[in-house]
Amino acid sequence: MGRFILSKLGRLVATLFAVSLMTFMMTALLPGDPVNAILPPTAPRDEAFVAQVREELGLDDPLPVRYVTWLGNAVRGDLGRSLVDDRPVATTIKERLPVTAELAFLAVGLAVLMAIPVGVIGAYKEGETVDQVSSAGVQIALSIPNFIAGLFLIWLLSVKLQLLPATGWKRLSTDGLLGNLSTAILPASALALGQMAFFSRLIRSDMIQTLQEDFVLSARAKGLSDRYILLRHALRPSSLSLVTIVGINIGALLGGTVVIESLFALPGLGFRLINAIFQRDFLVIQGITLFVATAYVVINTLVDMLYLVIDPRIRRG
Amino acid sequence: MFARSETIGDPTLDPPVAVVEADQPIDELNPWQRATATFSAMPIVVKLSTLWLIFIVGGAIYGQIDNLFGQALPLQDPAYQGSLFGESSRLEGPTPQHILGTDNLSRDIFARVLHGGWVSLVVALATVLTGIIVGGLLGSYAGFVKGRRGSVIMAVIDVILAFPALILLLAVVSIWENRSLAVIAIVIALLAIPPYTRVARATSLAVSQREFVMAARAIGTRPMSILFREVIPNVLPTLLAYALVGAAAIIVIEGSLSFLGLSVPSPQASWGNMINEARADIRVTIMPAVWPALALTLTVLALNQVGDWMQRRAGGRSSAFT
Repeated sequence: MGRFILSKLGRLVATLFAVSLMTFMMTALLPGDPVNAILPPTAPRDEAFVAQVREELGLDDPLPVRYVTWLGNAVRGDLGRSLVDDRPVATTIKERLPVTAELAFLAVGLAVLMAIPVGVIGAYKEGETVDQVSSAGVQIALSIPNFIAGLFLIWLLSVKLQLLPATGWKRLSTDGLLGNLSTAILPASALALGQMAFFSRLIRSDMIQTLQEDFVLSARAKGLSDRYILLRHALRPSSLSLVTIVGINIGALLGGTVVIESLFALPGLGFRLINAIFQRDFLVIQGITLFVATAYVVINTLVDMLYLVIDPRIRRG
Repeated sequence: MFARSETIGDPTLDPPVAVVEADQPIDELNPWQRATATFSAMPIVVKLSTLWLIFIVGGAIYGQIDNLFGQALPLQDPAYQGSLFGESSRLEGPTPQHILGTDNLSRDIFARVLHGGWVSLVVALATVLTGIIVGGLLGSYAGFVKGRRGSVIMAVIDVILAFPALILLLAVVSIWENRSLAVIAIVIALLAIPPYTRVARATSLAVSQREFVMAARAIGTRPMSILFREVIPNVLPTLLAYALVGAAAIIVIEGSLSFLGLSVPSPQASWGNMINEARADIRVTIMPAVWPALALTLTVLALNQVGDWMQRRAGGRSSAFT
């Protein structure tokens, strides 16, 4: 087990190293004089300022030196300053992370809550009308891109029914739980729809296999109720698959937050990233990309380690 | 009740999962006969999906031919703003002249949906070709030779996959200010190589264990010749089936990029930027967003249906765990 964790950690460090190198290369590969590309169109262009930026970013140093300096700063939490609003990139990330994190957690929570009943009932009634209808619904939900789901949710619930605000964000700390949820539930649902479909399809196929196991047969022979067997005997082995599929989908989820935050104008990392791209604010783009990719790699490693806790067979293998 | 549980211990009652059509006679048919034979073997939903895909591809190509002839064919000019010439107004409902109505600049929505399909088609085709040729070769090689060279390839692939796809795409796209269709197609195609490599490697690992590969090794065939004549031909069907499901994912990614305003610039129509432009008038009408959204969703749905069906036929791995 110790060796397993060590090898995972070794892989984690190597991947993070490679990810940082790729993110660094992004600005290093900018066409032309990097100062011209890095300075956003709105920044002043006088010689002294350009020279100062060049000095600050160490652009005259050879690439390997620049990489080591940049990585050293990044590890200590210094990702440079935005050249548009002059604020440290790390501060921006710290302010905006809670919004993105809440959105992502809420979306996964909603998706799992909806996916379990849909998947379990689909497996229990396999091939019957209920299953066929829900499978068709799942197929359609899988094919609706999240920004389309979001736009139609806004149209239905904000424009037509006027129940919820279409855009904006209320903080949990200042506006309370209800205020916060009234702004978070629409974007989270838009994100959750596709995830729900993805999860429930896999829970269903996983569950169909579990229901053919001998221990389910013997539980039925003992006379246990169907509901008890489904929830206590059959769902538990499927929880490992659930961890796996939630893990697999985190990349899509993080990409989805970018699109959904832009649609709902939420003050999260994704919306800032899109704004930075339009402003050509490269240090912000680089900083957020590095942060999100790092988080993604770390979460993936944690999910891998979570298997150890859930499934003892992997520990021995 | 538990639908399948009655069959426990009696495998004869379990129907075989992969439905493989008799391949031998199909090989003797000409391409047209083969296509019609495949089509008639499809379940009804897959048939409808195929027809929809043919309509979208046909419409996109027709739009391009119309461009070549200076909009002389019977289809509205997708960039023509009728309101500037007092011919039609903004956000019209369906009329005989504009069968799906007009958008926020009084352009014909039907023409724009057909032309928008061209962007999706080009991006999807570029991705599939690059994925199969580059990803397929790399993955088949990595799965066939294993060892250090195989792991080096997969390590590079894993680093690219260490980024969430859309985030990496945004970072790369942000470098260029010129976002023509060619640039977008090339960038998306290059970033889509890793999943194809994964699928190809997994299939190639399995194929490399098969008897005919062992036999070829035993009689002393050169490894490269085994790779190209035995392994790759058997990796291709799985890769082709994956390509359709992969194309659906790519069309959604391009749609997201367009929706964010970071793909091909207006006035060129793409489904994503049509939906983006329709956002501003959502309090007046949602119809200009409905049509491109419907086209995008139906195309993704159709590709998934046909792709899933082909994967079942090829007996390949499901895309979820690749």
